[in-house]
Amino acid sequence: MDETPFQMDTRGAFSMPENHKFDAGYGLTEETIDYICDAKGEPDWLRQFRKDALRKFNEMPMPYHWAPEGIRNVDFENFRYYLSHGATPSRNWDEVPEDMKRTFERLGVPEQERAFLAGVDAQYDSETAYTNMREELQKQGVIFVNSTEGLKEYEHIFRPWFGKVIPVGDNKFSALNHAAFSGGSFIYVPKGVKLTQPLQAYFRINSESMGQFERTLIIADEGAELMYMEGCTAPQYDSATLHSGVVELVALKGAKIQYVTVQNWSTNVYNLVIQRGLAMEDAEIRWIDCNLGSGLTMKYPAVVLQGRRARGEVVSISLAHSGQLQDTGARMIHAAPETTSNIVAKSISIGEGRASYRGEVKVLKGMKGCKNNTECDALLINPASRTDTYPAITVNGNASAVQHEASVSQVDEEMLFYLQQRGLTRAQAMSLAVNGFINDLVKEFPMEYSVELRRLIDLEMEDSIG
Amino acid sequence: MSLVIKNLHARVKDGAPILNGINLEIPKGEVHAIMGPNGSGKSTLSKVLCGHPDYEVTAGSAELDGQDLFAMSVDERSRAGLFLAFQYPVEVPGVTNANFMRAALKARLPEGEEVDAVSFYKELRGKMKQLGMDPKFTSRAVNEGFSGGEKKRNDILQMMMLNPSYAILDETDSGLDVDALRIVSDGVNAMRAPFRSFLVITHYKRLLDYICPDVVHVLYQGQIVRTGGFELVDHIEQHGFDFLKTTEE
Amino acid sequence: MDFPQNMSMEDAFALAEAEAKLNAALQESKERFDKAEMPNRLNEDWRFGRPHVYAKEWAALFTHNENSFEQIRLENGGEAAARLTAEDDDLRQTEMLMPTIGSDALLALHLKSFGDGYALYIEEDTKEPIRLGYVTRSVCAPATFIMVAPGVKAEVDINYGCLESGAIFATCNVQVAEGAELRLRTHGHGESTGGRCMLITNIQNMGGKVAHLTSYEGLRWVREETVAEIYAAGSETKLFSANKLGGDAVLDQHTKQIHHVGGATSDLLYKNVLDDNATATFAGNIYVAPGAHNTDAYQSNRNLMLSEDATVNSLPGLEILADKVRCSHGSASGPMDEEQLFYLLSRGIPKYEAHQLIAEGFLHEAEEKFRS
Repeated sequence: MDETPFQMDTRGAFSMPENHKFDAGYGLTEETIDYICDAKGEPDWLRQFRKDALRKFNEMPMPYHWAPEGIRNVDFENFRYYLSHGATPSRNWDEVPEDMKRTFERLGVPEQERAFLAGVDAQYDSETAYTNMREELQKQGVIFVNSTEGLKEYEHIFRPWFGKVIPVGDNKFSALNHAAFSGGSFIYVPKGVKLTQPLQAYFRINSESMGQFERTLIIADEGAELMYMEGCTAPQYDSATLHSGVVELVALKGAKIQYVTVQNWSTNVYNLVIQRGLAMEDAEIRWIDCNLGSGLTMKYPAVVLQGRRARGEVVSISLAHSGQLQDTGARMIHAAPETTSNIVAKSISIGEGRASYRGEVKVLKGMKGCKNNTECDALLINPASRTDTYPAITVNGNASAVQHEASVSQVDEEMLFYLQQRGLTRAQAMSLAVNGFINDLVKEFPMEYSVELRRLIDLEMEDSIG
Repeated sequence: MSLVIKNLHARVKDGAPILNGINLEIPKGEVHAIMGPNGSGKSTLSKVLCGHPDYEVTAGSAELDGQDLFAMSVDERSRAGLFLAFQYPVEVPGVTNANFMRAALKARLPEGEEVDAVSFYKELRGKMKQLGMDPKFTSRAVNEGFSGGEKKRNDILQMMMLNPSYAILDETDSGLDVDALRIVSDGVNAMRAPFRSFLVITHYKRLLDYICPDVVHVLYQGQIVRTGGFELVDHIEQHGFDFLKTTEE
Repeated sequence: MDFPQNMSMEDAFALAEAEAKLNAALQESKERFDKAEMPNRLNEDWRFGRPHVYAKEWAALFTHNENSFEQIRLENGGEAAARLTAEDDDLRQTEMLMPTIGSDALLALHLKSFGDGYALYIEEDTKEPIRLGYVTRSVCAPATFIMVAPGVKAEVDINYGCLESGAIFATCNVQVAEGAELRLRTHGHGESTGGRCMLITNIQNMGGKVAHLTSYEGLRWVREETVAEIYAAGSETKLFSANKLGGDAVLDQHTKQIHHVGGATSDLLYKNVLDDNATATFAGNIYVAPGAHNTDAYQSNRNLMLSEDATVNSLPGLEILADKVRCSHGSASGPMDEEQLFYLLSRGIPKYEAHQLIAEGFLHEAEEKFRS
């Protein structure tokens, strides 16, 4: 196991020997797609759909004109596009292959499932290894399966929304995911059903040079409510790994979806993810996003406020240490009147780490009574730390109000002195200050996650202060 | 000649009703006071009379010297002689007090006529002195960065400049210290005249000790439940508004 | 080359050399222009403006037309002012080194076109503001250089007038020495709605105090690029803009506050009132270089929207590579405050006048801070 000094999560930093039944090899061609479709036993429409997406992917330019420099190092030839043990997940941990089972046990997944989850989907490289949901939810008509099962067994619900929130041609990475997607969740919550416990997905990359392209589609029917959480880890390798998921949320009238991500990939992972939700009348979508790992993350959760009085929110924490660029942010598109959105983003740059906020808020023509409020705060820990803020705000008309505030600060020396005078070490004092900085946002995460978050920050501060 | 309010019902736009049938007549030359507990509708009444866009009239009428108040826009009501001293005077950044007052006075002149600058400043300075205001306030933006007391004084200054025939003072005493209260009351008293009426909205007796009202009303749950003389003020000062609840039962 | 009849050999030689230098410089500018791309959606995408409105038109205007000034005016210049010509090689070299934001092609186009202007070497306090005016009925590309000597307090007003459908393409290089103070006001205006204006300004603050205010009115479109470079601790750089836009006006403003060294302050406040179909874009950035610790830098863009057809794009930005900095930016766009409006109406001021007063008051903040 290869560990760098900045590899912070000791829990995720291990790997299992590779043991794949299916391996599509390096690079993405029509043959790769045929291989994937055969391995997964997919219908013909999807094979064609994937091939069309591949053509688009090859045609579309990389977003070099605005994306961070690091994206130029992404070499699509050097990833492996499909690695799996088989396309059928187990419903029982005992049936999960031993190495995968041990992996998820070390990550604490079965334990969490027993403790507080309504359902779990655990993905290992390209395919879901385990998926299960509490029985009473099945009786209520809740669907929680992986994307392959979703499109086969529930095509009538899956297909009308698939690729509608994030179309194939939205950008190059969306086309890539449409061509190569495998794994991810499909969730449908029927009218009026409110889930009291969260559904959890766990994404694990085990193999070197893996490209993980999970695809998640969540539909909350009228008045339904759910919370979905995803966690991500991978072992550290010398070669680059690509994680390029697509997540589409659809909140129908009055529905409420909360989507929580805690990403702690190893730093050899490019984390280039597209997440977007469609909120209809009176619906609410909240993205609660925490980026701790990966060498380069580009991720801007979006809400398209499509129905009157829809609400959107992004709560974002990112932490960048040396060798990391966290290019994160949010997008809010106000496409209906009286829609409101809120963005709170906090970032911490440590060592030579760089955290950037990139955001877009748009009030379309003719929309009245829309409101957005954005707050971005950056904390710089060391002299070589870097932070950037790049919001783009467009307001049409005179009946909407959009407000953006951003600030950059350091930990107050007076406060550190005060804490040290009371006997804390500098690292402890710093850790306390950093925890204080993100405290109001950490509260938004489920308890189990927020405890973990604080633990990671403590570790990180010890490293940075030394 | 009077301000006549008949069966006035009003509510917050698309919200709950607040005024539930107010009847009130204020003849020229009289000073009326309205007292009432929090949430009884005192401030709503003053805003509805002036035409604040957050409220809507659902029934009833109000006439100002025979003119239908509710048929007029906010600025027309002002020019017709209605003045409101705000509970919370608004800050208007970048617009100086002098320019603001001049614009308000100009709006009262026939089209094309200008306010005479010399006599305007003379009058303005004189009245500011009377209210104990620093002459520098003329070139400061309206209420911007003013303390609570300064804002209230500034509203009284506007009232003195605009010479309304009906002036509503909405909790003008809140946020004023004793000296400021005295100065403001003196300003109001100096303006008392047979051709002018006042409607003084307040929680407390102390302002009414300075401005002795002719008639006192008690507002409760959006209706006038008592009308009387100064003895009502004393009664409330001693017993609070609890007696309203007991009589209701 | 035609030499005057009785010119000495030395003079003739000098003249020939100057002309050769100019030709070489023009050639270099042309090559630079040909190589660079005019601003477009792709090279200005995330920090987008409205270059599709003007980029092509501008390249054509200044490629096919000769400079034609209706008037070049100077007041209170005294000994400080020197008229420029295209042959002025030193100043041309200065302009060649101007930092650009968004588009190098624009600067190259100006270098290719510029033929007149003024250099102000201000060595004494100005009693009255030095006033410069450039007016055109067709196209013109003036350049202005302002140098304020150490400890000197100066005030300069530059006026750009576009008559009919006149187009002005101007650069302004400003250098403020240690302990110097400069208050620079730039005003672009058109007499009809046909005028167009593009300004590229570079302010180098070597340790003084600079306040710069831009304002535009009556123009069809405006592009402004203002780069303030801060080279000395303790210096103060303030950038302001206040504009009331109506009709189909397009205003595209790009700014950058570059803190090369630490311990300095910069502040920016750009305000617009937008009516009718007007569109305003503000794309600003604060860059704090590695090691420029203890920097204070602020940026604020505020827009008051008066019409349902007006559009605003606000793109403030921060890039912080140093420690112990205090930086913030803010952007707010919205309708007129209902409570303010009600307050004015309640004093009898009619709606139209109340709108005007509030809008003027809104812009006033920038002017007031510029003057203070």
